[in-house]
Amino acid sequence: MTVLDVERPLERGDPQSPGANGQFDLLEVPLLGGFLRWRWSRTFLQLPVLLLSLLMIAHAFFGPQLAPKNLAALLTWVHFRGLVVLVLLVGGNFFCMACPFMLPRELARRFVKPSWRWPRILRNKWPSIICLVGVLFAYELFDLWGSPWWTGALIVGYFAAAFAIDTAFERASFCKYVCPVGQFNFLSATMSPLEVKVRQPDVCHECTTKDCIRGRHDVNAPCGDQTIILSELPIIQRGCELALFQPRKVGNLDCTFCLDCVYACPHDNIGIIARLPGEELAGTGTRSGIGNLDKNAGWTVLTAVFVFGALLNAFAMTSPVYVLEQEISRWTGLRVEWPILGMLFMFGLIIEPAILLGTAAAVTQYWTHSKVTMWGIINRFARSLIPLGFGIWLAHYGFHFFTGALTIIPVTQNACRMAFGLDLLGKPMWQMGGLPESVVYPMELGFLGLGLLGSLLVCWRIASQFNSQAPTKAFFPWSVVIITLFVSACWILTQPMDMRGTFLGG
Amino acid sequence: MRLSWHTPDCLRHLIGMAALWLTMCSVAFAHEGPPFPVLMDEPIPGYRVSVWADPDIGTGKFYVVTESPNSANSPPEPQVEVWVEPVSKRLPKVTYVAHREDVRNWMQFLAEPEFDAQELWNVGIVVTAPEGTPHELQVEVEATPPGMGPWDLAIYLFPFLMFGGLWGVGLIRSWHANDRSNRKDLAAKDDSQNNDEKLEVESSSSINRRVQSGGTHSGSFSSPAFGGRVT
Repeated sequence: MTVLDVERPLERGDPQSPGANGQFDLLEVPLLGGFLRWRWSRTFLQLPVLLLSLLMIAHAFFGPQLAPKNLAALLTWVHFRGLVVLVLLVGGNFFCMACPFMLPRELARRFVKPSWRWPRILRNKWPSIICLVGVLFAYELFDLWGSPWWTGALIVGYFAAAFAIDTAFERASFCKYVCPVGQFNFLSATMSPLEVKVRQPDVCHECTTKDCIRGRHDVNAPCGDQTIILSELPIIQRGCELALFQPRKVGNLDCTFCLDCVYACPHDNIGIIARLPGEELAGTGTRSGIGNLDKNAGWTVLTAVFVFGALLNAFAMTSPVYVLEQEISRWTGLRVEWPILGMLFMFGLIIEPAILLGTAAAVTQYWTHSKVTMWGIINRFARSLIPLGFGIWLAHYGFHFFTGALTIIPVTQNACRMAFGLDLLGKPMWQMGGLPESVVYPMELGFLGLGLLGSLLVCWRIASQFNSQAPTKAFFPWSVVIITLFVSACWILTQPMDMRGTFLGG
Repeated sequence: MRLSWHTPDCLRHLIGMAALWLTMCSVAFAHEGPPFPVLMDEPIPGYRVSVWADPDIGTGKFYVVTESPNSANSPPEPQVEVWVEPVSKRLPKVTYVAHREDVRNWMQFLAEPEFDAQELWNVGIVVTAPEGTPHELQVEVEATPPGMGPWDLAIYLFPFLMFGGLWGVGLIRSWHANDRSNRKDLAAKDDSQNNDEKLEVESSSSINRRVQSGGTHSGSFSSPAFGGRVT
């Protein structure tokens, strides 16, 4: 038997091993690093989250239907959302790493090998954009935050969709092309301080197997005496299922932190390495698995939905939006909510971004005498809005989380009492809530302020690259857009949102 | 020292600031905060009543949620009133009507009583069923100041300002370092290009040929797993 292109795995302690260039690498941290290097660490993290999800589903359908007393509603809309953005802020995309929706498909793939490739026409961000807008719309239309039953239905629907798509289609099609939470996490992770990346690029230049993307094959598999091709051998460790080739991967976009590349790399040359949040947003050129962001309309539209959706989602929970809906109903005579909500979404996610981004691009083009098309300018500069968009999501979700973090205790105690008829976890301590609003409000402003700072810095950097002779002319129109969005977000935060902490008022 | 995210000192400073910030957060607990439940699932004839209170000095808020005893169907809409009086009895009892709020999935009423001082108050919730029988529930709450005012902003925004400053300086320095590195690369390429040209001139006298420099990000390889080229 002859096997082509096989490299031996690198032993720990080899001269090529990590840490030589002084970068902080999470995989080198004692205990935690060892745990993450363990091949089953992802499954170990996913299992408790899966059990929790099953508990939430049960409580959603059979528990109390008053949202503040229901685990499904509380954990989904207060704790999960809050922790997702906070973990993204201080770490990275670890929630995708622990995603429970992937476990059923892993189990199914042991019996059924997916045989289809994701349709070429859908290999872009448009399906996930439609899903993301759909979830935001359903959230408002069905008052998902206040409906345990619908929240449970959403979780079940998520499991079903992930299972169906990933058992029918090869690789991580659901994560890359469909999952709206994943897309939210990918964009937010551009602001994370950790990134899965190559430790020493020189090692990759000499690598011949590219296991990080192709996967590691079982060279000991029985195959007779004939010469075989490596790629036809069974895979014992898959490579990146999202088509991110580590040596050319840039940033956190499309990376689920699954660490398949870490386990597959025969040189132990991939780590979870510290970097400056937001730095990748100003990068130009082609990114592995993504292409050139400057020419990718899908990512630009996804960014617009991420940023303007943050404003819309926060605005929809304030008192003025109810007044506005009533006014629209009075003008139009409509008595059903969905067309009115549709109008608000049309304005918030299509008309408003088109006006703001289009005007900024037109002014940039006129002032800089650029030959780049308006759409090209929007593609280039839209990324600068991501830090502010993330700041708005942080302020919004952080508010719910910080003001209601401890409510999980009495709700769990109450669930236990209702399930077993006994106070096994003690009497529900309903007085437990979270931080006071007087503390959380400045924190909201702080998150928004950091978002504003990041957006302006990234915008200046992009403007300098766009027109190095007179960057101010390119920077000014976009800075006006950024500051307008920041002021809008600050205004929304000052609007009354009664009972937000306990989310009785949404 | 060059400021960099990779510098351990920088990380230590950030962790220190985060610890300082968390320490400051912990002093602000106590009674103030978002509405908290003061009664939960209290049974009265025809209803289960839960009350969330936000008894800020000035205008307080009391949210009264009424459910049917068996959670099966929504009960008939009752009339809800809330009265307050100081435990010390220094002021007379004042009654406020609670108005029904526009909430889709349950029945919720809001009353906004006035509290003039930080002290203990008796609060009564009177639920009157459509057939006219009133039932009263009583609790004791402490009215608290709504917050520390401008000091909150100053204290809690301070860590964000420090972090923002460090982050901004780090980003700018990192980009400048990239620019310098790119300029060096370009200069090195220019030098090697000039040397190549000199060699070409010397060897063949063909002065019209110029060596083109290529990009650093391009490149691809073929992988059957991805149905073709991977960039």
